[in-house]
Amino acid sequence: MTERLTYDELPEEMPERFQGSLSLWTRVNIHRDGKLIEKGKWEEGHSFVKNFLYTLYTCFGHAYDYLAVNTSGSVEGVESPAVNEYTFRATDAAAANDNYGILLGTDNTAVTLSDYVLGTKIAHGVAATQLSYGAHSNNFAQPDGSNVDLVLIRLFTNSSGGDITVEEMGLVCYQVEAVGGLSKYYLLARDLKNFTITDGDVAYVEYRLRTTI
Amino acid sequence: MSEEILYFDELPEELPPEFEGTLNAWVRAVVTDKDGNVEKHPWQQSRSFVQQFLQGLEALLYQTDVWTVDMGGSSRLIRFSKYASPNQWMDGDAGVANKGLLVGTDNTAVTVTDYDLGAQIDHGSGAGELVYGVTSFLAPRAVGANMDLYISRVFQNSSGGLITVNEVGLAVTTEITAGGGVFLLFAHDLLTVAIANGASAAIQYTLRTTV
Repeated sequence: MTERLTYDELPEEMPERFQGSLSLWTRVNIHRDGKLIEKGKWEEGHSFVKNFLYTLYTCFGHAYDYLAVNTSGSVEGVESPAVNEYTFRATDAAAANDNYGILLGTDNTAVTLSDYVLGTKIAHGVAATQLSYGAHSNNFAQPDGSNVDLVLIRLFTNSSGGDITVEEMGLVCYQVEAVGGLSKYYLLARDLKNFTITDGDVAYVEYRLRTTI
Repeated sequence: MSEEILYFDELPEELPPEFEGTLNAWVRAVVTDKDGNVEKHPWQQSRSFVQQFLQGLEALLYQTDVWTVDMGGSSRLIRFSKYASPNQWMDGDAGVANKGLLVGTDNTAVTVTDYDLGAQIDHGSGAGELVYGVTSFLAPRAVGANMDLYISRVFQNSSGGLITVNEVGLAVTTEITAGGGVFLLFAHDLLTVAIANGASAAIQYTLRTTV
């Protein structure tokens, strides 16, 4: 495996190997009492999993109900636009929702293409080993030099009474059927991370998708 | 943009490590002459998801309307695709030359702000035209540590003369808040292939994620 790159700030001019690709970057900043106390580096993400391409396929290929493994391990159809079906792949979950969006976990098992869920998700809450999941924010994808960036940020507050060490993060999308209201969650990306959120601190966790020409 | 582009006769199961963690794309032409002889060109590293690609993803992932630029160069607000809307279809039917896999004759370098081919070849059998087949897909499949999504379209030359393709692209149709559909360019690549009269060329894209 090639060495993962890290940057204090993502450069406008990316290394040649990223040209032509969609790359994924992650960063964690830690805040205490409203102040930034630890600014993380951008780390190269390594892991769109199977469901990411399934999702693109249903969009581009007009494929209905393409079967994929959801975060519960069940096989369900990823929906494409059709009568009585919602079509979005939402990742901007509301505060307190730990079913989708950016999720954190404690497992450090290597990522594989077939991953469909985090190894051990940290649940939303204020009890021991839990984190309070905040809402998401995002930018607008616009060209900057030879890149276009799409950023998703979520805040995680540790009110558990103890320190929590995070070992993995993931991006999960959500669909719901218009008729019947069945909710579906699919893991799009999973990455190993290692950082600790001290009790009382807030972690700003970012995914950045970047295309480079 | 670097001039160094990778080529493979066949896409290897194990790509160079620098592709790990990315969504990368590859494009090639397979030419069939009038006698049925097939010439496979090598897979060429694609260099070019353009701005509309991430704006399309934004509309999908963030449940929001998103500004983008259509293939006519007009700013458009993509309607957040929620219910029964045409969200980002690329599966152009035969004869449909405004979405799916497209070809053109311009060889101007690709930029991230491209919203159209430089000089798209029209559908038809007149001079300088190609007959557009169906844009077809193979469902994503695991290939080693990769997932591949394969997209293909055949272009038949019945124009009476040689046609040289210099550029290819991927385009989708989507819906805008103002109502109706628009066409968006998602990828643009320079690729040169000569198609003699009576011959056809299948242009093939593979989108690949690599863990």
